[in-house]
Amino acid sequence: MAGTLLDFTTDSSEHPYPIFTRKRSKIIQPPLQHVEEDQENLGDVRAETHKLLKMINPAKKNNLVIRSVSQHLYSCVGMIFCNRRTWIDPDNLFDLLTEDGYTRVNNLQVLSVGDVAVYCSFGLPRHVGVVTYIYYGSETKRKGIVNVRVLSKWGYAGEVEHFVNDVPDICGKLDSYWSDRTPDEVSRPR
Amino acid sequence: MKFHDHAKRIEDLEFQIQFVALSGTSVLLFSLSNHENVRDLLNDAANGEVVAEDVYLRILDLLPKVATEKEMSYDGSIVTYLYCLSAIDLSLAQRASLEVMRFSGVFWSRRLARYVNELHLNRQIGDSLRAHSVTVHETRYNLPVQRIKGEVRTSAPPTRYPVLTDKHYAEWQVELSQAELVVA
Repeated sequence: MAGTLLDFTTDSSEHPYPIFTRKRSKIIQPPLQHVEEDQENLGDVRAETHKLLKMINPAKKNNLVIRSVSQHLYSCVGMIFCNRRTWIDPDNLFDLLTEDGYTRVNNLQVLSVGDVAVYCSFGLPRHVGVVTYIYYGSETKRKGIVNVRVLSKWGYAGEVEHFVNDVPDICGKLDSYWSDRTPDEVSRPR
Repeated sequence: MKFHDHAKRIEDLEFQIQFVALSGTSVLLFSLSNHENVRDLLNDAANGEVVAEDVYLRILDLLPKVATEKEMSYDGSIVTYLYCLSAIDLSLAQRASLEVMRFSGVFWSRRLARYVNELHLNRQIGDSLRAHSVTVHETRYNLPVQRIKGEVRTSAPPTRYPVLTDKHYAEWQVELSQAELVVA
């Protein structure tokens, strides 16, 4: 029987377009009426995105690339888990990862493009992005990973490609990487 | 610190703009409750240096500017003021929330406004039930308003008992847990 992940909203009404995890638990979305209202009243997202990037430390700014700015409302979690279709708050992110069969990447040697970077603050998930590029210390990868590029959606602003630690403070700090590959693949160095 | 000084910090672009990158309502509430600017304003409000009306009027001042302002991003400031106001005077915060809901381009302020409206409604329900309890049962028992999984659940007061004994109260508690009226 399908379960329901813990509700973070104040409205328990059924969402007419439910989304399920791979284990058939319902992913809690904000009430449709609220989403529609928010969508209608969204301001100039492009302008807000540029203002946000302008305020980032100049040393980091050059490494930030805006991939897209959409007037459709979706969050960082919605971008990765719901194909940019809806706003999902990050409260149940770890439940979502587990339900979808993700495995925590403990050995960075096996990190791969497509894996997911999770950001937390005080142990609570705040932000998530997808790995797009991995920089190694040498061509043979023996020196390990030097840096990682991540694509993530910054709130209701645009999608930004950035180095893994170059996120606004409010997004928290990098906590862990997760992969949808099998636990075997994630534990075995390539 | 005077309200003017608080306003300067809260309406600084660097402070305002970070709210754009927020990913959820609970993250918003958590960030606000831990922010130095918010804590300072609330401390000064507790000391009487800042009054709720100043905060309320500042929200009303900023709201029309959202549509015309190109450089600033007032959503972050308005949501901060609204959060502080809800901690100082919830009724006034609810009035401010109704104003916020009339404006576009204030994404997080609108989300918080919904939350404040609901909080205010819950408080009103709680107060009215407690007031009823005082009349009927001479302040001995307060009616509990349970909050389970985001729903406010309560029950009609047990007026059928002429004298509300502990046994009756326990019975009613069981009844309360079994048959609940969900107040949206």
